Amino acid sequence: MSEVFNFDDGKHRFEVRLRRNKNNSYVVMIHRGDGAEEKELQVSAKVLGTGQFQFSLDNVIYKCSVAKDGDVRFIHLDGEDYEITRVSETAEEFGEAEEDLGSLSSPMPGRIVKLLVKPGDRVKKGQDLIVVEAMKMENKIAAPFDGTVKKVFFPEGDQIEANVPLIEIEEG
Amino acid sequence: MFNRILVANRGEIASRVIGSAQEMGIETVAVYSDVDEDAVQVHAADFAYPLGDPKPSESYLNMNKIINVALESGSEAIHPGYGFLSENAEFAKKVIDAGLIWIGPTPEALHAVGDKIQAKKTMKAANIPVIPGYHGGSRNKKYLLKKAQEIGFPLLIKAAAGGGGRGMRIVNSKEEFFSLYDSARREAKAAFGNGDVFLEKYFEHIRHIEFQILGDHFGNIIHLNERECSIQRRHQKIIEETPSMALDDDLRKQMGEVAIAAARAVNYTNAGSVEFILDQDNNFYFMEINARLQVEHTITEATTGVDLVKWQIKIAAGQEITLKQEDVLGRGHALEFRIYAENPEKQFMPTAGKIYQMQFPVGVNIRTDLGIPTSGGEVSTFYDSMIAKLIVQAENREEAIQKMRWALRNYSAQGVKTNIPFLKEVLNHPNFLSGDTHTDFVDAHFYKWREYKETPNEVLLAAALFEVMEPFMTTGNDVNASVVLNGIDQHSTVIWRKMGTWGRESLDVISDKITGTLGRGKKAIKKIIPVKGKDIGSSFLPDSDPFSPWRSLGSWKLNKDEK
Repeated sequence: MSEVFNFDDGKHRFEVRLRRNKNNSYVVMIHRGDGAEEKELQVSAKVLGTGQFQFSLDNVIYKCSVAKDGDVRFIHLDGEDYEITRVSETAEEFGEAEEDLGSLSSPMPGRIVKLLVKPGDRVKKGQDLIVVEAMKMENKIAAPFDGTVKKVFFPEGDQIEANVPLIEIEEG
Repeated sequence: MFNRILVANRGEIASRVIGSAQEMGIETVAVYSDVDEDAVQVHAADFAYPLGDPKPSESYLNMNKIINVALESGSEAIHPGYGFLSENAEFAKKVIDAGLIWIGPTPEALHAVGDKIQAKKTMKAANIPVIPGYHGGSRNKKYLLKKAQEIGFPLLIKAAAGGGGRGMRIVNSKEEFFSLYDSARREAKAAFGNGDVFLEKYFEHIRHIEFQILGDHFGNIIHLNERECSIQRRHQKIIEETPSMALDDDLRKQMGEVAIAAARAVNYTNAGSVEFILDQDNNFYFMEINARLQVEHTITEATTGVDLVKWQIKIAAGQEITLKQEDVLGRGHALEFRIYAENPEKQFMPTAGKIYQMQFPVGVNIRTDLGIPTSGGEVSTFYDSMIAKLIVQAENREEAIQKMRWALRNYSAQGVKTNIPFLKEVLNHPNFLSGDTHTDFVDAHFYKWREYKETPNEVLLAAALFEVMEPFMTTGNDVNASVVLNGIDQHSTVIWRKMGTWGRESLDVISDKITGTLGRGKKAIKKIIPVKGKDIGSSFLPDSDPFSPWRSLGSWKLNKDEK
């Protein structure tokens, strides 16, 4: 069983999947909204006190301090302070609601930043297809199933309205 | 000596004054407004009395309330700290009239330096170099233009009654003079009810240099070297250092003598600072005397080993200064960085709110004067938003900068936006590193500054781990509320101690190890810490140093309630 957490740093959206292995060790998948490649990390962690813990990543121990205020997380790590917001999963549900449709629609008004596939490409379930920037955040449209790209409706750079079809995929 | 004194202030300066008094065996009385029930001075003092309404005018500026508390609590003297009533001649007189002792300059001296125009005239008469200008009362525009041309352009029109930049105009040429003169008068009249203005030469590229002075009631006046406070924002200092990169021994001696002469000209007693501007040709001009203990007095303490607050108290109690001018030795280099709850990206606008967790560095010759409790304090909108002062001292400027870098990395106030990221960048700016610091530094190099920082994977990882581990974190009374991140602290009861030194060296070792796994993160670490551990070995002073301020001072480094 893995747990999923979504965060927002004001510029990008991130998804972190955490699977507990045994005791205090985890396998973590980080899906970055800023276009950087997805990472799988092995980590073990230990609580030190309120908001204080350490984790070990590739034999390096990090000490970390986190404070929370509602959804906001204040994180002190490696001599730097970060402020990120935890985004509830329900806010992400629009992606799943579209899953049954062969043509994928824009979640909100925005701009097409990048097309990652072209018509005729074979795609796998979960593969990123299009990067859309909306409300200063980048969102990726992922393939809901394995299939072939039939049609891409807009070129890169185009402004789009909410709920317009962006790409069509034929399942199979 | 006094048995009990009242400290008429709040926050870090109140608890700092209390610390020195307690070391002298003097009982201390703090005052607090309704929002300050958990403020640092309340915990630091032996007794704390309420002032009620948090509005400054009803609390820390209310003369009668404070004097009544002093009398009621059996205090014999009042220390005003800085700000609030510290330079108020009327308050000083009231304190004395109530039969109490005022720990500060005499009301006469406060009055003499408080009127800026009068003070300049006094200084001019005493042959102290003042900024060329016209301070007479003429309103004849033709005559004023003639005076303006004598002074030369650019020049500054300033409101006689003013402050805070209102009624102030920079005139670049004689064509602009009349219209700017009229508008300055209008603005001054509207803001202060008094349209009088004076003219002064305007300097664009200057350093702000001040000399710490101490004077007693026996006519002894000494100076304790200079502080450079050129780096400012919103006309307020944020970074101070001593010694200044611009002064050599000759200039220091010369300016120090002038500072003493300026203090003598107004029969100055107790602690104060004589402020000068220093132009690019090393000409210096008297600006004003700050008749109080200043925020940045700490760096003078760090290099001279003299506890200025103790001397303030001793002088007020009628003791003679035993310290001779030739005994004052500046040792090494000290920096003070002021940590504010503010947003550097929005014109340094103050921020307010709850601080959930606070971490600060502990180490030899690193001093943290905290303005809010470590166990989660509130930055109130009623008062100044300075959270803390971070002071480091080392053998030379380079080492002090390296130490400050490390100290800033280990300082964190979680819950409000602070100027820490901004301060870190100042610390890496080539002009700061080379000592090329002037009062236009922030505008010239950090205009419309934005923090640019990506969120590394480690942070996202930490955020997710926090979510799953939070239920297992202890609640309630928790020693880790104040975390000493640095393993150097031998007395730390917190868990970091077990983990060994988490200093510059260990970070470097780690950053070497994590090539490939951290990617960008490694580069970031290298950028912030360009030195190897072996280069910093000598930056710690030996404990046997008789001038080390940490031998005699220190009780206020940590609030006693944290132990």
